[in-house]
Amino acid sequence: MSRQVIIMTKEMFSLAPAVHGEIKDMPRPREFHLDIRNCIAQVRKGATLRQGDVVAELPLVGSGRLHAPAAGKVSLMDQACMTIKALPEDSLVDAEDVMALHEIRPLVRKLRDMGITTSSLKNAGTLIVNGVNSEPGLQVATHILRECRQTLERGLELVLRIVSPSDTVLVLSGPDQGELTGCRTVVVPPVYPHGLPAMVARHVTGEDMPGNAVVLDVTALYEIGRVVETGMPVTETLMTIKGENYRVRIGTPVHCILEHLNIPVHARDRVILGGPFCGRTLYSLDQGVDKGDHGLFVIPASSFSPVQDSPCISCGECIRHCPAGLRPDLITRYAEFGFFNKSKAAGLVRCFECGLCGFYCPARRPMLQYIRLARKECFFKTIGKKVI
Amino acid sequence: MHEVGTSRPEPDRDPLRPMLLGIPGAFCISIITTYVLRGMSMPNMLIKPFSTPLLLTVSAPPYWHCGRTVPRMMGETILALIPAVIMALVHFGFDAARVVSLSCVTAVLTEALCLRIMGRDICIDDYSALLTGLLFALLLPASAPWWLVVLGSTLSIVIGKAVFGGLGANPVCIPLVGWAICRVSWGHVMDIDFSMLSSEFLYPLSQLKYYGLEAARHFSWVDLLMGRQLGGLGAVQIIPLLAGGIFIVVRGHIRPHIPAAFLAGVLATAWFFQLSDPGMYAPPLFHVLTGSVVLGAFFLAPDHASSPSGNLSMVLFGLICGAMVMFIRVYGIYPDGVPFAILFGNMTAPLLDLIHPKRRERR
Repeated sequence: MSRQVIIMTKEMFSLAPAVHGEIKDMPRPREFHLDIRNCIAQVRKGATLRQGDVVAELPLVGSGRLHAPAAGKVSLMDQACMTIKALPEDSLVDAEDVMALHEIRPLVRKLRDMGITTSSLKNAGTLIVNGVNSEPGLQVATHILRECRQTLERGLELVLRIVSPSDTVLVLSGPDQGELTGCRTVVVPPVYPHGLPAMVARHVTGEDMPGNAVVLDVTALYEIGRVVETGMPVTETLMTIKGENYRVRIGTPVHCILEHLNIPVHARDRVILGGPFCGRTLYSLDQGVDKGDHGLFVIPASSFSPVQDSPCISCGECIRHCPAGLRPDLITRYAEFGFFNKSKAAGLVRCFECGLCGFYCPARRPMLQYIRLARKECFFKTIGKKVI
Repeated sequence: MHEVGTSRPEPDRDPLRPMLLGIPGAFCISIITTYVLRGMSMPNMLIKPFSTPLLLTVSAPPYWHCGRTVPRMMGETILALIPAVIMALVHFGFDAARVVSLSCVTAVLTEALCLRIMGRDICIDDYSALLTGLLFALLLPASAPWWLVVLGSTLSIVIGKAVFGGLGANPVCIPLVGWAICRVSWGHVMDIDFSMLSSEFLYPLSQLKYYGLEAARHFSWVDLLMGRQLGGLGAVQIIPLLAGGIFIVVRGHIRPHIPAAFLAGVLATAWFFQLSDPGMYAPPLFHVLTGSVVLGAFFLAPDHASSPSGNLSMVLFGLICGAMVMFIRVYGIYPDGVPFAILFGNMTAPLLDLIHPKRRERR
């Protein structure tokens, strides 16, 4: 994704599958940089690790543990970053049989031990598998539906054990994009934001954040399936970079990927992990890829007019484009002046942070930033993880 | 057609003739003033080199943008009004140029001054003040004296915009504030008939009001469309305004709901009146093609901050404004009530904005 994306707004929103061929492997870097902000490290500096050794625990309820992506030695460690210098040969931890557990609680605990985030897995009436690409430019979901059905089936088997739904739905962005046993198919428009979990849930159940349904991305299902197949913890993520899908180990420094694929970066560019609407920008090319990052791209410095600290001009574009039917102009105006309770009254809790208000704002206000500020003040957490 | 009563005094060969290049001049003034005043107010910024090799931009998503910014919106709206300005120059000559230029330059400079006093960034290069000045000028009669233009333009910006907090905070359409103050306070100068006695054209709405339907029948549709009528100097250039209005709707700067509903409101209400007494009330099309209806429908009523945002709200707003236009024309003392009708509609806009049909909760 380069300067070409600025041309047409319609192309900017397409979620249609466009990647063909195999998932390639990103070469193993010499050093891994793991983000351990707000984590409790389990190893000391100088420790020798095998691939799959537990490296950090996350104190958030339902978060999976962090594991070493390759065999190596912890060379540097501080509050934010753990650097693992890779050894020439990979040595692995012993494989574990996850499917042997039949009780739900030990199973969920085991998944967390293997690095899967289980906060959304609970007993529910409907299981919705989101097979739509979540953002334009990310192509992982549709690709694995086509190529990796076996893994997905294994993951689905395990998830069915935990959720025990009466109805399983696979949501696709077009007919003939894939299928899973036991799932009925629902087709949604292949346009952003219909790939977001809240929109997918709305298409199936009618509610944005349904109480009696579990929405699971196929990428998460794939992770669970890999854990079941290999018995190894989560140490890699699938990413769409420059129109191709790659298997990238967690902690791979972004500059290694950019050098390998010859993607130039200049001063003041934005380097983004994730997608153009919900991703996060990097402050350094040394930062490593994390679990759940499914895209990497660079936006050149003067591609778009810069975000400004300007007042709202009350044009109403954000109101007309908000998929949740909120008043983003009011929410951000209140947040700008600190009236966070009024933001809540204007519908802050229903916002699922799609970013469309900021996309359409002619005054270039930092809409999503104000919304996240208000969410942090009211609810202590935002929907986007690892905000900036 | 009608006799000239007392002859008007000779218009002064005023020293403001060089302002013929009013709009381009106002553009340049706005840009130059912006940068001069910005340069004077911003502290000296020294960027020190960092030790890391590459400085990346870190910001919150979304990282893409649709490309529509405020200067672009205002600029294209001004572009849409240029054909009407050109036709006004053709019909009214130097007088129109004088009014338009003076209004634009005054609005831009007043806004710069207000922003400076408010301690805000001078952002007159977003062209919104220029647009306000232009719209105000298009509503005035071509023979408006210089002091009226300056006062009206200044009051529009100060009372209509700056006092409430600038662009986006205005509760009513900005140029209409100055227009309403001038119309009520200096009615003798704003009255189209009194001030344009030397013109060969007639003011259809006052002909209708004071001489009845028979006098209104003298106007052919072609004459009205081509702007061979009196009214606001730009408001009567119907065809250029229609073209400009359709242009900004197609470009997406305004939604079609308000213009369509406004015109529908005028047409429907005029039609009901005509049905009730065909001998007394003019046909609906006559009402749309006279006065400031077309200007109001496309450029004044859809003003973003003073009109509601939801689809249904916009339609109701347009209908209310359109109906009010006809009520003022029939029952009011003014021949044309479009600005007052839009001001009235602006008062109802916050209430209409509360109409927010629930998003489709079902599939």
